[in-house]
Parts: sequence; structure tokens; C-alpha cells
Amino acid sequence: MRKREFEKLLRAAIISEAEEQGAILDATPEIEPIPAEAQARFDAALNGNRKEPKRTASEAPSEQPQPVKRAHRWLAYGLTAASAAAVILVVVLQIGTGGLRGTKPQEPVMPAEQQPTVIVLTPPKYISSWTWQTKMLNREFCPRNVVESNLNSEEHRHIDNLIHIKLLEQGNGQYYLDEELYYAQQYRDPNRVPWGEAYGWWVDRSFFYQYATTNEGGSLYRNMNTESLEVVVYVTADGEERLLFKNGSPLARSDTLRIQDFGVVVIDDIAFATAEDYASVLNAHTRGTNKVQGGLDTIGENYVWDLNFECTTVPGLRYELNLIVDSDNKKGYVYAVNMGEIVSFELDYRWGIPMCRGNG
Amino acid sequence: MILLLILNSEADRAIVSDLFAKNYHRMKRAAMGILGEPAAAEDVVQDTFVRCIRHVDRIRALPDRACSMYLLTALKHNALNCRKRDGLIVQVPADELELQDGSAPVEEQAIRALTVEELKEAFKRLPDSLKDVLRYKYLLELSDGEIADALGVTKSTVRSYLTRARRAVLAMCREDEHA
Repeated sequence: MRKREFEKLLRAAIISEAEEQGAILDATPEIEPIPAEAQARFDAALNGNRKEPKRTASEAPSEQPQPVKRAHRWLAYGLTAASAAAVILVVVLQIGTGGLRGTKPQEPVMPAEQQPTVIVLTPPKYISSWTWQTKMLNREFCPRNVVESNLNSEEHRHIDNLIHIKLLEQGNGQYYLDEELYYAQQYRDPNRVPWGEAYGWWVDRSFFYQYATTNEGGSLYRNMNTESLEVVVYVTADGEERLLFKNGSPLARSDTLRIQDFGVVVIDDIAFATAEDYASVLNAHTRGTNKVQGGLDTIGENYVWDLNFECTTVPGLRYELNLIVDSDNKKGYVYAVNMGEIVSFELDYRWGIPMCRGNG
Repeated sequence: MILLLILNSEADRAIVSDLFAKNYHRMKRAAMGILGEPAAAEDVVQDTFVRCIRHVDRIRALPDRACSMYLLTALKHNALNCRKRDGLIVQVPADELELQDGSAPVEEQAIRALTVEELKEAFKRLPDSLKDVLRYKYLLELSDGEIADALGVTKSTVRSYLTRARRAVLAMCREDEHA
């Protein structure tokens, strides 16, 4: 099945699903009246600029305008011009006095006088319980979905990075993420390079990767080992989760693992370069200790690829490497979170040949 | 901006007015859930209907019952944009976007023909965040850049999400086939 065909079917499926959802929604009609102000705003948008229907030649009045009508028309033009001038004047005055800022409140969502209660989610024994806990919190307490964790469902057992997060109780039974803390950590630290692309806002592996691109020589641990974030790595060898790493302190031999410890590398989702190119680079980077295999993804046209490593020293341990390519600049970066160690190198496509300039 | 709004026919006006009457309250509730502030929520609801007016041709092309979902999806997109404008964090359920579907090459997964019904059933089982990304793309017909703006990510990342979502759908279809 070709991609276009697949997308066409997928679009049809999504619209069909929307139809089903709509039927459910429409089955419970709203009976509450719409507030007059909201209705007025909507009507203004709907009516204020509605074009008058164009008249055809046959419908146009045949008689010439009378002088008195012409006078009315000039009067109308004058009034329109005066109205426009008045509107402009009001706008200028509003801007001059700091107005026209919309209806959005300036104060933060969290009232400053409230002293929040810090809640740190305890690492669960099993990933599945963490998943459940996170989702439960989102559903029951946190309408903004700020309770996040980076994990996969129980069916996808492999290494995962779980992160402790702080939740602040608002006092009304709802919780929210300590946004200021993240903000300070990511944006206000003068020693940090500003984030060019803030997709590290949410708490997941991207956080680490993005961090790696902006941090100047720092280690993952130093910043992740804060009171707000704890990195917990689970290994699901033999189908059982084991805590390997917590808060920067190795609880197992994980800290000795290096990229060279991993055996087979499978490259997936290669869009515009051949998998063999990446394979050769990765093989070079890993000093020839890995066998890198590439596979072409005919569906994907993305520029972020997950590479799966299989660890040779810890049976059953799987490991991930992210490959991020900026197609506009023809440069690529590879990041690997190797139990907290970030390995990165740059791919340069200027000559069509990827070259490794790694620092890993 | 308002000057761009053009609804030429009475039928279009009726469509939009009907959608407003039917969906205002549920959209307001949804906006409140995301933004938590009534005035901002109202702004987003109204902005969504402005968008609705602007893209009435797309809405007209949808089945009647799909329009409510179109609006809710558009509302969510607008609300995320609003939060980003206001400097609030954009939260995307990362665990869901990072959904793994195994390492099997996608072309193997997609080798057989799929039906709309199969894809729909698979789509229903996706995590909400993946559904949203696909809805932005295929229901709202947003560009990758527009999606990226709302989610606070790069276009490349959006493409990655879309691919992951499509792969997840395929993987579920494959599971269904084996089941």
C-alpha cells in the first residue's frame, strides 16, 4: 500500500470517527441558553462583514439617481468617513493609554498567596502502576494534563526513563505542574544556552535530548538531579522491571554501559538518506563494535528516527538512540541516552556524504 | 482580520449559526478545561468560530455529524496556541506520543490493503494525543507548521509525531489481523 493511498484511507477513517463522535455529542443537546454577550460576539463576526449579494444587471435599477438621492449618498459617505475617523481616534487613544490588550487576564493561574503543597509521585514498583497513576491523576485531578511521565505501556517492555515531577496542589483539589521551576531551570539560568526550540517543555526523553543540544558540556546528571526531577530507569529484562538508576546514583552496573556495549543497531524510518549511510556512520562512531542494520521506511517522512540497540552485556536490555535531522540545514544530530550519558555527533550532508564530527 | 470573513450564502450562515448553537457550551467547557480562565476560554471559543466562518467550505464538505468534532479539534488547537502565546507551557502527553510499535519495518505492516473501517477502529484505540495530532492533520487539514506552532515543537517533530501515529495505527491493524 502506497503512502498516499494509506493517508487517503486514514483521512476517511478519521472523518468517519469524527462522525461517530459527533453523533454521540449531538445526542445530548445543550439546553442551557447561550449568554447574550457570547451570542452578540458571534453575531458580530457573522454579520458584521457579510457581503451584500451582488446584483445582476437585470436586477440593477434602471433609472438614474435623482439629485436628492445623490445628496443622501454623499451624506452617507460623510457619515461613514466621520465614523471611521472616530474609530481610528479611539484606537489611537486606547493604544496610547495601554488599552486593547484583550480580555485575557494578566495574573498567573496560580494565585501568589496560595502556598502550594508539593506532591512527589513515588516511583511505583511496576511501570504499569506508574502509568495508571499518571493517567488517573490527569483524569481525576488535573484537567491540563500536566501529569506526565515518559513510559510505554506494559506491553512495550524496554528501558524507560521515568521522571519524578512535582505537582502543586491548588487548594481546590486540582494539581498543576510547578511551571516556574521548569521555566527557571530551562530559561532563566544564565549559564545555559537559550533553548531554540522548546519542545522540552513536557517531561519526556525529548527533554534530555533538547537539553543535550543546548547544554555546553554539562552532564545530564547535574541538572536532572534536582529536587524536582529524578531519573529512574527501568530495565525489563526477563519481563521484570528493575530499578537501575535513580537520582543520578547508579543502583546497578548501568553506569558502566557505553554505546560500545550494545550489539545490533537497527535503523528505522529513514526518509531521504539511505540507511546504509547512517549505518556506516554509526559503525564508525561506535568504533566498529556494532553491527548496524538499516531499513527503509516508505511511510515515514519524518526526520526523527529511533534507533534500537540491543545490549550485549545485559541480555534483553534494549536501548534507544534518537537521530534528529534538520532537513533545511542538511545537518543531523544523534543523541543517545546511555543511562544518563548523552552521546551525540553531527552528520553533515553538504556533500551528500555523512561525516561524523562526534563528541560522544 | 474581521474584514476577511465572508459568508456569501444563507446556507453557510445557517450552518455556522447552527454549529454555534449546538456546540457553544461544550466548547466553552472544553476551553475552560485547557485554559482554566473564563475570559480566555470565551476568546478561544469565539476565535474558533471565526475560523469556522473562514473555513466554511471545509466544514460544508464534511458529513454533518463530523462537524462537532471538527469544532472541538479546532478549539483544542486554538487553545494550545493561546496558551503558547500567553507563555504557558504546552503539554503534550509524551508517553503517548512516544508510543512504540515495535521495530518491524512499516512497509511490512502496510503490505496488505486496509479498509477504512479497520483504520477507524485502530484510530479509536490510539491515545488522545496521537488522535489529536492526526485530527489536526487530516480533519482540520492544518499544515505541519500550524500544528507545530500549537504544540510548541518544530515541524520536524510534528512530522515525527505524525509518522509515529500512522505507525501506531498500522501496528494496531496488524495486531487485529493476528488476533
